[in-house]
Amino acid sequence: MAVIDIKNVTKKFGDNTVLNNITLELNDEISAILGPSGSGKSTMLRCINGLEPIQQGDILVDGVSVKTRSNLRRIRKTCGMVFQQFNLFPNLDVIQNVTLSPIKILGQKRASAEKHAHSLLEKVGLLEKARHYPAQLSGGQQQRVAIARALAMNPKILLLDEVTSALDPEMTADVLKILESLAGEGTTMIMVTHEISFARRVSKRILFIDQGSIAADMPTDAFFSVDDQRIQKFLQHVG
Amino acid sequence: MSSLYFGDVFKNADVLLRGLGITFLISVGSLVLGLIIALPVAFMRNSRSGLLRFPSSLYVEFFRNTPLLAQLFFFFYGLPELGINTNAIVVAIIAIGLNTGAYNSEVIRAGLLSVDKGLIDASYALGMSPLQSTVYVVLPNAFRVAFKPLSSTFINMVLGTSTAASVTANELMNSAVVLAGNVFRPFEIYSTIFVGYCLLTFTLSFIAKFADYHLISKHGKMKNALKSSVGVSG
Ligand SMILES: Nc1ncnc2c1ncn2[C@@H]1O[C@H](COP(=O)(O)OP(=O)(O)O)[C@@H](O)[C@H]1O
Ligand SMILES: [Mg+2]
Repeated sequence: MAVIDIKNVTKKFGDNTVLNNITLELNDEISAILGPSGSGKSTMLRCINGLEPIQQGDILVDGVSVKTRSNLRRIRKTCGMVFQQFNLFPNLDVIQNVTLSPIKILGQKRASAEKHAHSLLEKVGLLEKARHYPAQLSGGQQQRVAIARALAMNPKILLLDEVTSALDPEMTADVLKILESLAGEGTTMIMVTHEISFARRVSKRILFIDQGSIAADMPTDAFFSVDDQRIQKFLQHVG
Repeated sequence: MSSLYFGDVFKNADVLLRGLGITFLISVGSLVLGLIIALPVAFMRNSRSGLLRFPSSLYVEFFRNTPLLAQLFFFFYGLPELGINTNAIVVAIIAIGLNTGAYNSEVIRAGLLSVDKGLIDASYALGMSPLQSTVYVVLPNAFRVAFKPLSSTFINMVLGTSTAASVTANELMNSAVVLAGNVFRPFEIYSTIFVGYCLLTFTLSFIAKFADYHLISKHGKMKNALKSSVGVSG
């Protein structure tokens, strides 16, 4: 069974059809979603974890449908998400950001949640910032905390929405390094990205979205050698 | 032209101090009532349901668009007519609390609206229910933004408690009026109560600044500082 099964999904904002009858299976691997800005990449991720409702079709995450509202919390525990704008809770320090959900939602004991958080912060290289607040961190550091926060829920899948787009090149490199090591550990990731060379290096499969439709879906190597006008144009544009 | 003489003020210091104490009591009572009312009203005003929005808007608009003094008279003379016997201090707390609650609810509402949508997305993406998201994410961040304007509404309200003098609550202003009638030293008496009010408000704004620094500002600048467009009671 596919980890994420997207069946004939149409998503509209008012009259604006943003995802147009998409059918797609995502498995235990790393997939990159590419496509021009406004093509519906973020919306697709947000539909997968039910942040946006869909109008037609169905999405099953680990066999559970996003169409039943009461399933959403379960689906969101399966899918961790990291956002372009980090979205750390500014009222909480780093360790509290990472442990809030494990304690309140998974019912973990504070001590064990903090122990887990420490190991995750070590992994993202920010153990010494555990008692800092988000506003005291650089963008790259905040994004690494956001990754640790998502991982703290032990998700099966990580949804990454342009997680380096708000960062300058140096910080981007730090964040990509962490994602690459997660990839090496076998974490399932679905990432929307404009970092083409990173996507090429790390992902097994490329989905190219254009105007709300899957314009290409192929193994990474094939994607970069395919003879397709739209894809060539896109690659020239971002690369 | 007689010269200044504070002897009578000192002799009656106990009356004025007692007045100051009652001013403080009315202030704290109104503060608590005002906050208890403001939170649900703020949520109601932000609600999509007209059934919740209408009564809350009616309340807020009424108390913000009529004079505090008239509201005080309304409760002081109106309640007994309905068979509710009250004492002046309680009436003052009710009227001033309702009045300040209307202003506070607008401040809190603006605070709630200022919470970054991305934070709410993040809380849901982490598996929180709407209630958990509200309790752990929305409210604390709304409060961070609302704290400063709330403390200035509060200080304004403390000064507004002087209107309770007109319904016989023997707070600081009322004590001064009574005292000035007994010993004819209005200049000395009123200048003394200015000092009393200043002591109270300076202390409160010091506490507010201290709390703001240690609970909020120390942790770094906020992304969405609340615009000062929110009204303040007077
Ligand atoms: N909350 C929303 N309300 C209305 N329209 C939206 C909303 N979010 C996205 N859209 C529209 O959906 C389209 C796709 O947006 P998005 O998924 O963010 O694109 P991408 O992530 O590929 O840049 C855009 O036309 C955008 O304007
Ligand atoms: Mg996007």
